[in-house]
Amino acid sequence: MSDFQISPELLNIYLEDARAHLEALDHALLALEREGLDPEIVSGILGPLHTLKGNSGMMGFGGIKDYVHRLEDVFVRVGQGTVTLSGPLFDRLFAGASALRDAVEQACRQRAEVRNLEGERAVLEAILRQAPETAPALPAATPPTPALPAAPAPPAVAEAAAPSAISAEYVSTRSNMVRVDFSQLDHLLNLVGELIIHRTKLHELGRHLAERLGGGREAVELLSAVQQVASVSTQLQETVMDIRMLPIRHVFERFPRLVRDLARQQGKDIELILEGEATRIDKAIIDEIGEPLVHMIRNSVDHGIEAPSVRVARGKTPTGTILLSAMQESNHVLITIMDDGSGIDAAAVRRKALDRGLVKPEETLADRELVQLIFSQGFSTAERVSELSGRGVGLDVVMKSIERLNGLVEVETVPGVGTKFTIQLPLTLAIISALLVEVSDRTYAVPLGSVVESLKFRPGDVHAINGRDTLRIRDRIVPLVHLEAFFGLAPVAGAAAAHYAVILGRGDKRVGLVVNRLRGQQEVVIKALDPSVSGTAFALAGATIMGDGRVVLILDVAAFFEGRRQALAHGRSLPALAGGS
Amino acid sequence: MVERRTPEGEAAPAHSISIFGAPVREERKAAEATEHLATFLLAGEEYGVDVRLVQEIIRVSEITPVPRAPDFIKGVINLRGRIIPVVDLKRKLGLGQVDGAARPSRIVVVKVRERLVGLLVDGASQVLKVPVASIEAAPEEVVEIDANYLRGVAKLQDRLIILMDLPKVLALELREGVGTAE
Repeated sequence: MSDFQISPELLNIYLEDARAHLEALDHALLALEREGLDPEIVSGILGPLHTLKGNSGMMGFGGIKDYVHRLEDVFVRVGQGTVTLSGPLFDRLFAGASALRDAVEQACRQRAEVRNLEGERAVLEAILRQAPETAPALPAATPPTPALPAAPAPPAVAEAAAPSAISAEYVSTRSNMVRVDFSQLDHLLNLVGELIIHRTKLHELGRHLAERLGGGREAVELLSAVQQVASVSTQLQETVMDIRMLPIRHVFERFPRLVRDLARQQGKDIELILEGEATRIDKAIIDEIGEPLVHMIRNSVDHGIEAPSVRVARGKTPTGTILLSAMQESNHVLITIMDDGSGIDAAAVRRKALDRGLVKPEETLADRELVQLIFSQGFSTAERVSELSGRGVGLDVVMKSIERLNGLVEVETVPGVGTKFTIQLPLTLAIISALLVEVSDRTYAVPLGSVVESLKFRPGDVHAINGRDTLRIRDRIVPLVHLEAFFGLAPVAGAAAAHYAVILGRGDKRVGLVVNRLRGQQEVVIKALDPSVSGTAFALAGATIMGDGRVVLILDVAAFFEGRRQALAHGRSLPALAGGS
Repeated sequence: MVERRTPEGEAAPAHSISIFGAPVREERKAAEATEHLATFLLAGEEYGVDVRLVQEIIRVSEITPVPRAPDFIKGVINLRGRIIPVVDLKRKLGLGQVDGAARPSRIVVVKVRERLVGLLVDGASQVLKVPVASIEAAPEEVVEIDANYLRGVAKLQDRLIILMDLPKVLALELREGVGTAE
């Protein structure tokens, strides 16, 4: 343990760097386990390990340094063929890698080594003792100097392991990269949001002034300057948004290890295929999406992929496949999790839904609709609560997390063939396209991602079915929510004839919001609302500021679907409540 | 009972006053412990809150009503790009809604537990120091009436200032995801 002061900045750099090396270690282990002994993989991991060892020593983390040193030795022997790759060896190395990760994380948090790695080191030493030493240790074993030399790894490393080449340089000057605290980027984005708002105002003022000046040279210059400001601020916005984007690899890269561990514990054989890892998405979403994805992958492993014997009996390959892919589609990123497992049994879902009172016995639902019920609150298809996914967290929580991100999630399944979950996420949380609507002289914004269509209708088109207003759109009957009544607003006189319905979609469900006017689409900067006035009870997701400084509230689309019946009931009772004010 | 001289009140550091246009008048140059108060008017009475909670005082601009919110939440405003809720203090405290002529004229922006909230008041007056010794518990008869948000009353030479325990007044608003329309 060291007595000298490590600056927090240095510690952060060390941690970021160490994480990359540990990630590389996981990948190398997974690759070796999958493909058998490959000298390139072995030599590829020596570089990162050596760097990690040197850096840990410099931080004064002696225990970590010693452990990594032994780990290097083990890999050297693996490369020489004197340590044989085997299932038990991988288990030890994976366990060791996890312990090492813990030790590094804790050491950085506490600024001192707290996690003792001696036990783990003894395991490695035992492995080494059993292996005859045929060659002298690689130069990698030379003690690191505080100057963090570039890893003197075998030449193969240069092409094979990009991570080592990048990370070894981090102390030397890297002219084209800087590390920035993300909160500063957040702040920058807020400022840009302000700028965008004022830009619109400046534009209007400029036009008015130019008119008054009557087209002289000054007017032309004013307008051109305003134009310049507009163009630069647009570019600024795009650049800031771009800086905040990270490849989704940051989330995906943990999953091969997760799937391997889960599969091993359950005696299953599963291959995880990753696609589109380079797809970029706002870091704020990256930070939030990991946990829901872990739950969904666990779900696929636990309840999707069958045991090898079952698979063979069903005429499938013994190895199951999970495909995790990401792709950008216009303003969205689509993430799919597809498995070739047993699929979801709609009849079982129906039984459980009946049990839980989610559907009535007389209700008939198409299988496709039934299957979506797995996202309902309190629903869990897990017959047995497994240690892995049975943490009281179901798909309902997954859906909530995704909706908080303004995303959608859907499931498709074919019994016996497989299941596919599709998550649709916005590229960014900060700016969305919205449809502005007017209700009772007030303006609200509806996230455009949830709008299927908007249309004008006549009062005669509305049919009250079972006391609820509905609108027939082609061959669908869509329930209506009168926003005016829902919000307890005073009706607008004379506007009765002008009715528009904004049709919202969530999966297969549709709800029509009745508004007085449509005011067009606009990009809006989302601002958080104080928790005292946001959430499902208010049906508000946030607010935005218009060019003239006015605040416009953004509707929380999920609120119109969640417990649709209750929401409608509220809508009816509200006018009475609001009558007094 | 309500006699509560907050320890932070006694240890009040010299406060740099940053409230626009608020004339600073010191009631008494006292060597003894003092409390810094920001005061405002509500239905003809003067109320005081710990000045350190007050971020600024602004004129009432357009308030966007929030549907389904409790009636004492007047709506939200745009405070230089941040959206903050505005609480109608008179409604909140049951002091009636004296709209019309005596329209609320100021919003006192306070920061309580890291949350910014605007308080709609009839008029802001000033920032002043009062000796802790001048603060008495509110009379019991007053306290009976659901008024445990009163910290006490500061009796000055020419007037009374009712001391408000803001975190208590706003306890409901500061809870996460409060109040539905019901």
